[in-house]
Amino acid sequence: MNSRMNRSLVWAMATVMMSFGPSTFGDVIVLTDNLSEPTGGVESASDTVTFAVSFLTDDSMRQLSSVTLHMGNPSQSGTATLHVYEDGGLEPGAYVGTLTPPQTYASDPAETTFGGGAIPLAADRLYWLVLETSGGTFTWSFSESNAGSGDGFTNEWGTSPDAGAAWWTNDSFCLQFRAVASTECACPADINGDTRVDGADIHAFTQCVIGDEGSCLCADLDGVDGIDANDLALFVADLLGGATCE
Amino acid sequence: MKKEHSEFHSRRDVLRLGAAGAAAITGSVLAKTSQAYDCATTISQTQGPFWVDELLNRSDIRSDPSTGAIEAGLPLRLMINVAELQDGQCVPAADTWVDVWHCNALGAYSDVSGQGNPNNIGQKWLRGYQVTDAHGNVRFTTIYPGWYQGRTVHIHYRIRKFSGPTTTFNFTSQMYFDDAVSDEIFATESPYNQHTGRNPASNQADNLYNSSLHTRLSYNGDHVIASFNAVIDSVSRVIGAGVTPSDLDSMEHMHDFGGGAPRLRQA
Repeated sequence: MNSRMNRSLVWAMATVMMSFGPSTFGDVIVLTDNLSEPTGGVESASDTVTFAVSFLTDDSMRQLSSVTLHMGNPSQSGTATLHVYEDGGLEPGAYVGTLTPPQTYASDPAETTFGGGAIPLAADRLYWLVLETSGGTFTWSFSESNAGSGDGFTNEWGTSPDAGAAWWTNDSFCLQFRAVASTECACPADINGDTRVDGADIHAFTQCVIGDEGSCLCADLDGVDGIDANDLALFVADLLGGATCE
Repeated sequence: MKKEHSEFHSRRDVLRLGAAGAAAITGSVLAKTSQAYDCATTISQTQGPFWVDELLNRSDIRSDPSTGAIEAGLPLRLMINVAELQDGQCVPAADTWVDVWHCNALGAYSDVSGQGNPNNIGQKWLRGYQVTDAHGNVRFTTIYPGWYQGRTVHIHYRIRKFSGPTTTFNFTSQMYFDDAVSDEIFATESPYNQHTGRNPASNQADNLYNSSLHTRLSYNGDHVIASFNAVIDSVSRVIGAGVTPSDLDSMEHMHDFGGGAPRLRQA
């Protein structure tokens, strides 16, 4: 009886800590989340009609681990892809990376996670997530409120009627999503987040060394603050060794 | 490529400050903070002397419908969200008419004449309306407005609700643009740079300007992207069935040329 009470007490305390404590779970952090807000309706995406949402990073470099959308696939056909873009000025800008889509989609809107990501995110930066769909109809819920949680919540979203050629954006009643980022590098020396350490990482590493703003979480290879000659030696070793993290 | 943000960074900073404050309280790296936006009704402003109820349902308002000729100017993608104040909360306002009208790159309005305006009677460029979707949104493709003597850069808008042919809510106001963006566009982009002598040159020098009516704005080189949020209270502000406008400012210029009481929606 006492043991059952103790377990209940521990569970209750954990629940309370989860409710009021930081939004960190192990080595990941919730940058933005409005999934718990009431849903006001849905937007419908198609081959041509595209949607996007933005989020901010905090003052640390991160890696985008997963993004959960409140979305559906009433046609039960087609594919959906979630891309990450830099900010282009109230609209998506330069391409950064792509998350892995789920295997299946619910017909009605439900929490749907795009994962498998280690997409590098710079500190204090705005990013856009662009939902690209093909061959089916996909719905994405929008919030009935303007509230959300997380340091990176912007309430900003946008739509493009021509597959991303032109955008209209707004900061009311954002589409519903949660973005989760890792606080640790998943693949050291893989600066561009493509799960391989190769020539494609050289330019990005160089940018980190010379101090340009960038996504340098995986460039700090010795774990000592700052990216310097020691990190360079380790990077070269990884590069020559063809390290992979797949 | 030119790129200039307005309003945006300050909003980000506010968000970041909010989270930082919460983090200090909990002692965590990142605290789970809930950020809600104020929901206050948008202030009304005069419709001005150049309102014409053209009943042009279109998203791209750049052309004159009779000739197809497109007004020259820097493309502006404008998204307007209309929210309704309900029990102190903002909720999307669906099925609401949003008219916009504004001057061209050289400061002239279509379909009016006089009061400093050339005779453009019969032309209908830079005018049109859209009906909000369930999300409360309308989108317009237009050009960045120019300026005319005595006014800063602005776009007029009218928000209406109908019950059958009866107008049940009628609200007018204006939206404004960041001076730095306007100055750069007017100095570098054609045909804006052919219109010289801008005075007053600032929002602050404009008698009607109100900072709460600012657009979010980004000048992205070959286009400008902007958004504006309007909050209405269409229920409590109706002063009588069929009596419009419900906003007294909208009546101010009802006898001006090009103004007048709004026509009822055509069945």
